[in-house]
Amino acid sequence: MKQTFFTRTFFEISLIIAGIMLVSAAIPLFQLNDISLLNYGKTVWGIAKELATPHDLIYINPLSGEERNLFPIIFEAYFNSMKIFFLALIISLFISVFLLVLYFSVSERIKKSIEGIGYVISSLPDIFIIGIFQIFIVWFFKRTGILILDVAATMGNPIVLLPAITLSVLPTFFFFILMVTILKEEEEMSYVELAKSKGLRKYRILFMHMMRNVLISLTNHGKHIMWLMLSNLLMLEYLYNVFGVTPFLFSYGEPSIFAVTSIFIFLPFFMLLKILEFTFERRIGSDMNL
Amino acid sequence: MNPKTKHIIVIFICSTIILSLVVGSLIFNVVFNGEIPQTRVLNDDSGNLIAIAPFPPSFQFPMGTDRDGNDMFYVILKGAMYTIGVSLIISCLSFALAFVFGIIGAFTKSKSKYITQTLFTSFYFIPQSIIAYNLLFPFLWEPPGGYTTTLTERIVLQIVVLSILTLPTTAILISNEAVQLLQKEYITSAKVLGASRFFILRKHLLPHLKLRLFIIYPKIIIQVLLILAHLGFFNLFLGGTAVDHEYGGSPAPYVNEWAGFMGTNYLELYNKAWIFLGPMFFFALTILLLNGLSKGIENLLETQLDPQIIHKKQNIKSKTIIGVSNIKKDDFSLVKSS
Repeated sequence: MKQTFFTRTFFEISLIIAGIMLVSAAIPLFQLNDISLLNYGKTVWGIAKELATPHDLIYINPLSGEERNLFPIIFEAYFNSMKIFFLALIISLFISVFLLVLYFSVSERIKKSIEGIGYVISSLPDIFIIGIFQIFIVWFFKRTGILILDVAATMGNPIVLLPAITLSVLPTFFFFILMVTILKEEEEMSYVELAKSKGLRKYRILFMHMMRNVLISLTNHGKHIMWLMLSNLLMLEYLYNVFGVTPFLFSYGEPSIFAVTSIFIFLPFFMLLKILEFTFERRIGSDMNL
Repeated sequence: MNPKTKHIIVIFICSTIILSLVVGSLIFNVVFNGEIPQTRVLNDDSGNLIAIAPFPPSFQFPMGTDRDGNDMFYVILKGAMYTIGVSLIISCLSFALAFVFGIIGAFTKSKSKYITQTLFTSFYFIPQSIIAYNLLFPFLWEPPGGYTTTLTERIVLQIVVLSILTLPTTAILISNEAVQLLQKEYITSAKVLGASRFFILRKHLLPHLKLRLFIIYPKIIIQVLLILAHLGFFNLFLGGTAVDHEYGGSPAPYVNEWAGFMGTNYLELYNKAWIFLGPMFFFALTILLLNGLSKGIENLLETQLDPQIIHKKQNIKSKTIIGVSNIKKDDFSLVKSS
């Protein structure tokens, strides 16, 4: 069974959307008095019908009880979230590469300790890092009177930078540890030896030759990183009071709103993964399935 | 030191600390009835009032006290059993189920497997703590008239729901590990020799998979711990949230565990930080130890499976760098002619 890349991607997207709908339909399960397969089926059907006419969806604010059409309002929230997410992703990629350069220019003993520290930080829980960041900024403000960044969003003053920086901490070290592990394996490959024997400089080998292979392995972990960052993002939005997609996901009463929001979250990430996969397949010819 | 002993020491230390937390908590709860020493006010020698709770960390209260004067150290000790215990139960359940589904998935190669796996990929794009919140909210949030269910019922339901929630991703993980092993050449040769699926599973797959599962298991516990903590921050606590519908007080947990305590005291971060940071520190420590455990087992397996690794490492050390003389005097010794 040989499918082209695009039909396969299309098939996968529709399957995952179906999966999201099935999950969303399970949400009001405990509110119903009798849990039966028939009711579940009815909810799935209801969601499918409501998704077919998305502009009629109504979102009720759980705090104020205000009713609004879902559609213009969700975009604003959605772009806020995406800004934070992709800014964090870019920051973490840059810093982890920077750390990598640093790592390769120090002695063996310092390397060991950098690795250890990186491992410890990358395995800290997300809420711990959010807490530490907030307490640090407040402490700094109390000491010096300089507010580095706003710690909480208020009306008309959305914050992007601090959440993005906080969100980038875990993936930075995750990337870093991953890259170090992959590079260690890569270093023993014969093409690196050849490049060394030809007298190429260390960083040239690192960035021109080894980095390409590292990127492939990194993308293989893409789904995992997205997963990690996503749950982290929602926690952040909740604790920093950012107007993002999180409030739409708390709408336990309306499974169709949950479904719409989840589909919105899922699409760009999946597209990104697929584009990466496609580029690698084209340029390097490696076969991967993310 | 032999790298193998080093990894064993790491594993030993990590598991001992976690175990002593749980056992200490168990002893405190059962033998001492879980009574937390409470100090509301402090008097000096002549009986004058000098301070009222909360007290910052000091010699008398190593981790400070909360606003009611409860000694934080005992609060944390009391909660350890519930938080770690419940996440152990949930991860065990989910792991056992995921193992069965994962193995079945690994052995089937039909189109339906591809479809189910892609369907379940949707779990990667909706954070599990959000699904858990939405599922559990009607059950755990106290309705205006009080609960119609008992505390045990709610805890059991929460355990079941969370283990089902973590099931899909765990099953995919185990299935992928198994598929990787099944692609090895010796499996193909076993098939050629006419081994049945069950035989391959028992004789060829399990011995290798068993080791990999030891690495995965602590990670599942971490995942469950994080979901519990997130739920705590969203004000859904283990066994239900007590809501004051009459006077509108802040939601309170029924069970004295870490997630609930952290969730209710998050805002203390801005004024009495130690009330939040104490439990947070222990929570993070538990996760770090579990990660260390997982890493230790992984390293141990690497050295065990590949006895050459010790040899290889020594080789790397003695690599000569061009232009630098690595020749030592000891390298030359007089060979006696016989």
